[in-house]
Amino acid sequence: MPYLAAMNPHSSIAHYRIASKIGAGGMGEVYRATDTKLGRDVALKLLPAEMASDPERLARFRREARAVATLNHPHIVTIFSVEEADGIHFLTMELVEGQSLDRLIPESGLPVERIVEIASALADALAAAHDKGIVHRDLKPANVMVTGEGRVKVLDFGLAKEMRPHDPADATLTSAGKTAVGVVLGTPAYMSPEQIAGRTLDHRTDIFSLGIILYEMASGRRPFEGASSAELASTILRDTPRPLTEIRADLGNDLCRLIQRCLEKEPRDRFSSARDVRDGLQALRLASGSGARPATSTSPPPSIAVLPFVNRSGDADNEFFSDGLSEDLINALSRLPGLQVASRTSAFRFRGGDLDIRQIGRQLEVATLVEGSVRRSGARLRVTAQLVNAENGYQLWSERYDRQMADVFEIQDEIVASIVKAVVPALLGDTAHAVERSTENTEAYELYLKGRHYWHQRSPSTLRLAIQCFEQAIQLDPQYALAHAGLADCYGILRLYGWISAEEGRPKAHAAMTKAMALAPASLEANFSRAFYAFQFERDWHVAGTDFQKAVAINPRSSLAQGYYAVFLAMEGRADDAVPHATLACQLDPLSAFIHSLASVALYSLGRLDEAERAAQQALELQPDYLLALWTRGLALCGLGRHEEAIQTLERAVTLSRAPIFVGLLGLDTRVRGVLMKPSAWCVSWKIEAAGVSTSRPSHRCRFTSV
Amino acid sequence: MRQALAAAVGEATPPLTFRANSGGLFLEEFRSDPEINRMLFELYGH
Repeated sequence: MPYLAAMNPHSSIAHYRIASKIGAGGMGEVYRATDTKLGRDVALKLLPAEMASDPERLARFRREARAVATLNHPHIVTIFSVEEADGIHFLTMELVEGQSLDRLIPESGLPVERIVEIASALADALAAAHDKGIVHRDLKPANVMVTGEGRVKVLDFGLAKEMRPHDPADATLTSAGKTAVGVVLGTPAYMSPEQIAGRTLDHRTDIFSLGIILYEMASGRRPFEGASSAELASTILRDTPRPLTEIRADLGNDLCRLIQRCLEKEPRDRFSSARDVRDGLQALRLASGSGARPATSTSPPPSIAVLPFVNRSGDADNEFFSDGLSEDLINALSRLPGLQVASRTSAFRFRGGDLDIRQIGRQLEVATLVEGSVRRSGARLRVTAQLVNAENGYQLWSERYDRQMADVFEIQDEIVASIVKAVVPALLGDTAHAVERSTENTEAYELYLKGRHYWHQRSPSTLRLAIQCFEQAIQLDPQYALAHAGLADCYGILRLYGWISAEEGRPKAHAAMTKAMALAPASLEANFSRAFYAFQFERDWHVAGTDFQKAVAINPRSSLAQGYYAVFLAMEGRADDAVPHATLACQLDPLSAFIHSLASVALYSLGRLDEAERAAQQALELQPDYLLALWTRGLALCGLGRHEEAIQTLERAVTLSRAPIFVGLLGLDTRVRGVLMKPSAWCVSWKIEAAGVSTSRPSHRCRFTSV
Repeated sequence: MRQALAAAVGEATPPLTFRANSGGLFLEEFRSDPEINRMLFELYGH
């Protein structure tokens, strides 16, 4: 056995001088060594003797090692070489000084911030490897190193299959039981059900193992335990782990749900990719500010949805007012720390429906609901509001306000204060003037609400009406910052779809957003407007980036700001930053076709066509014929080569909107259809010609030529 | 392609509109052409 003699300290193998032994196990011995040619320290791992003597297995191992060596990732230990000297086979790797994760997990689990940090790094490493078709197959805390500075490094990527005495993919209950009679085999504690059952493995086996590590980091114990390997394997196949929420109260529901999803028995029920796990973790970090903040109580955080107040004025034109009142309540409640508020678009989907209040609560995942009605007659106003426990349907509080229109802000403040008193009394001190009052003029306020009502519909005609409303509001109160911001946003949307030219829109948008910023520089609305303007009209990426960032910092629960920031980051090619913001936007507003469409735009901009198509499809399921979703789905389908579906989708968008951008994509020339039918020619010709698409004069610019 | 890009630059097509309608990342493949790269820089700011 030449290994033992060769590996004494101060001995050498090839040009490596051995310093000390740093590890040993079923997968070979590991030494600290110095590469005397390059003058650097490395980890040198001897291959097990039985592998070294099996040429076929050795060849497979070399191929795997070469593939892993191409991974250049900050959280994956780099393989430098696979070598042979004096009949000894070994590989050299980056030397990581630190401790393995299994030694760092205390009995009570790690702090939440640290769990999310480590898990994000692991998911990121897995995503990078999976992208190259490399599956770890043996992910466990002992294979995760944490350096003194806290950096995370995954060891032994893809090598487990060949280095083990027995392939874990072949590990069945029987082979797991072999440990009892002395056959060395890695513990099945971190194996997936399909791995234990000896079924075909794919990357999702690593997601299960990651789930076990996450569970262990969170609780200090493994989710599956057994007195023997066979019992343990049986538990993994059969049992559901004890809910983490029962073990540790401060984890937060979102993190617990994420871990639980990684641990689904069926691979199809888990996250479909490690990237999705990472994005979910990033979204958790974003949602809690700078880091994943632990919850402070055993109960879930208070949550609420404001359903659209019913318009009882007998005049459908007054609906904007009841909607606006509800929206302002949502905005006011969203500003209160510690209260989770369902977004407008999600809550407003239940308008006029006949769903039971408990079903609505379940769908929106909130504990309480506000519903109410508004009746207006001239200057007189009657508002009723009630707060309902979504779990049992019982009323917690209700009130009727018979006032003058001039009192509308006081009514809103009183409603907010009453809700807070009932739901989160600790916040009561923060509720004075919770409703943003950027005007005292109730007529201007009413016009603003009407303007936002039209803006949300995002069609050329409703945007024109929105502009009229905002302009009239500004006439009544020139200092009304939100109306200026709304006006700027209208021009931004008109420009995005090509309904106005840059020459027409830019000066108007600029004037409006400048005024908004001057009047309310700390508001979400003004910062969003400036970012949107810089993005749409000026290509000023610095201002756009800074202001989008500011907008999401002002209200991290604004799905609009999160969604557009994601699009902006995607345009900059910053996938790692963009996707978590898009994910968070969708989490904040899960029933919004608009937000899912924005996520789709971001994914499309990153070239993630499958995911973009799925996000757009989700938006269309929520709202069929939603224009932005049709657009982005059509584009994604084009990229995926599904041309017939792309044509149908974009034609539908054209029929609905006549927006120049859609017309431009399909072309006005009937020859286009002929070209589109020939994908190989079309892909190139469309892309090149579409580069010249005019957003203002499509009929003159959109010419398609065959290649 | 250069003409098409110049037209888009000339009329200040919003970057998002342009990116979407020019095939996503398709034009990135042509960055090695200095003129195309310059115009893409103008359109995208990077």
